[in-house]
Amino acid sequence: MAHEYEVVVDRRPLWVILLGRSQQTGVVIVGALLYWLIVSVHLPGDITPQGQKALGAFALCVFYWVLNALPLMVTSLLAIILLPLSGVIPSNQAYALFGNEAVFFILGAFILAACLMKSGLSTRIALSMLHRFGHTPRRLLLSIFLLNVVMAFFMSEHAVAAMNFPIVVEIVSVLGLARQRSNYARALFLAMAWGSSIGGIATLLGGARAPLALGILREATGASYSFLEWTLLALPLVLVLLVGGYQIILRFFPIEIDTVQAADTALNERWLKLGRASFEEWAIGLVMVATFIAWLIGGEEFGLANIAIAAVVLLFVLRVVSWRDIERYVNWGVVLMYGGAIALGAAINKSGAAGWLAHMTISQWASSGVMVVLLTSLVSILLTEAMSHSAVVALLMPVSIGVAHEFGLDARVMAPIVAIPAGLAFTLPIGTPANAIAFSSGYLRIRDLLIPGALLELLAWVSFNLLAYWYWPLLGVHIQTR
Amino acid sequence: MTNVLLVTPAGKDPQRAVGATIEIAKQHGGTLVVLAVIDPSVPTYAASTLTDLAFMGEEVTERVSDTIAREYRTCASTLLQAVAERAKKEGVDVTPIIEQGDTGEICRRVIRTHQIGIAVLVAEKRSWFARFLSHSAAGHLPALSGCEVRVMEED
Repeated sequence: MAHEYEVVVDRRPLWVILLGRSQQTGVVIVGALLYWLIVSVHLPGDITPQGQKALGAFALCVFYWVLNALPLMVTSLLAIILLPLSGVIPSNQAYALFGNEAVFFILGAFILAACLMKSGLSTRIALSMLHRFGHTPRRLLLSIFLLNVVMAFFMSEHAVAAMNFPIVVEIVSVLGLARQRSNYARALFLAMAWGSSIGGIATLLGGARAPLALGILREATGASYSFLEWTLLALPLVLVLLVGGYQIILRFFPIEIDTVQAADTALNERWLKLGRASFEEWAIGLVMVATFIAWLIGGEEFGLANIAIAAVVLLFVLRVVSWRDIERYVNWGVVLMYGGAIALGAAINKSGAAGWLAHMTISQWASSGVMVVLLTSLVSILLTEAMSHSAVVALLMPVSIGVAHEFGLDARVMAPIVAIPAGLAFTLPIGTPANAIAFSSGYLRIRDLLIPGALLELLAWVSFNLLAYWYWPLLGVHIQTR
Repeated sequence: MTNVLLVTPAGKDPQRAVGATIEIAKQHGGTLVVLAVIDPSVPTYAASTLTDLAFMGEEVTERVSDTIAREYRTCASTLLQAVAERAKKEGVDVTPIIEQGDTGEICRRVIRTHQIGIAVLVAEKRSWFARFLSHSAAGHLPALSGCEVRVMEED
């Protein structure tokens, strides 16, 4: 029998097809050329040859991170080999930075979150809250928003969104809400995505960007923040965004349904199916609470990473989790990404490249410490809409430390000024996985995120700067020039 | 007698195209084949952001991509059921199909296997720029399918 072949003719213009197919290779080559250009040309101002090479490596990595030329963690690995090969720092120093305390804190937090998810405790908490409080459309919406905010205090915001997504899908499905037409469905998905992002800035557990900023800060200056200090700095902004976000959702998407009886019944059924909490759930819950308290009251004395890793070991001692489980929930690229970013930050700070870069960029545009804060937070919040939160911190944090030195600011203040706005992506699906998941549901259109998100973004930036100016000094964090 | 095909992306509710296709099938006295195509890139994209940007493990990413795929399938199944009921009232026989993959390839196969004479494609609303840059089944299928193809924009 003759074989029948399918012939598909792509009718797009040839240059569009070629561009599409060679895009990634092109970006890799352009990045390499950028590196070569920066290390070869004579740069204005006072920069050492070592600093120039560090700057080249920094530019190359930022270029790849922004354009996703390579996976984020592979770009970080590239940084690790580029620094010793170009003579910026010796190999043993570069690789030693993988053992930074911040990396192990992030790893410990990821493993604890994995245990919460694997045991089903996180789902139990979500269902118990929703089936108790979500009896009317408005209360159900508020419950989902609050649930995501509060859960992101204790685990990665991305994990919270991923975990609660199936619950929200089930709710809109049993309510029979129309795709891209139902205001209530849109409101629920936005509450899920925005809630997890807003909650994610409150503590050092909501995302890896805050520990990363602290890791870079500590490597450069030896200074840091305690778990409690960070939470106190960020919490008022969370409250402002909680109220503002909820109001924006209600204004843009007025609730069109009168009852959520079907969802109530479905949630109740799921809740009943869970049965009694297992020993595993109790043990993980208690260890998590104890760990959180230890971070709050003993974080400085014992070290955040030490407490996180001790909690992980305790869970294994109690035999409530296996290594196989952890491997299925944690992507080990996390160690490579943050180890590489911290090494790069340390290299450009120690080589003087950060100071040079600060002098050539933000210092040219800002005339005072307050302007530096306004500009840095604005750049951070805008960049985070288009690139990974952690990449924004890896890009801005070393430069900001240089800017702080130039303006006589306390370098410590730059960590929250970079890291908190870097977690506030509300307008684009590419901004953060929570937005991408919500958008992938098919219930949201781009403009449902874009316009209300931009409004929330503006509110976030203005509130953040007002709080930094008026509230932070009460906690001993001053954005004014010394 | 001519069989008629209606092709729609899963997750859409193309009422205008459904009405028009039922009318065509009635006029030609053929079977109406309704094909809902699930774009695999949607669940893959959400999962890849979790892997690449959020460093989540495969258990988490699979849960999210499975939920999205299931949601699209449920949605497609609801649409096909509604089309079948509407067509039945008009006295038209319906063959519902749900598939995941490349729309162009699936369409050509269905056109061949079900001996389709007229195909109606529901095109998603996109900007001219998006249409210019990206591949579109509605763009290249008319010339290749070997049957009459009509393209209708989604409602």
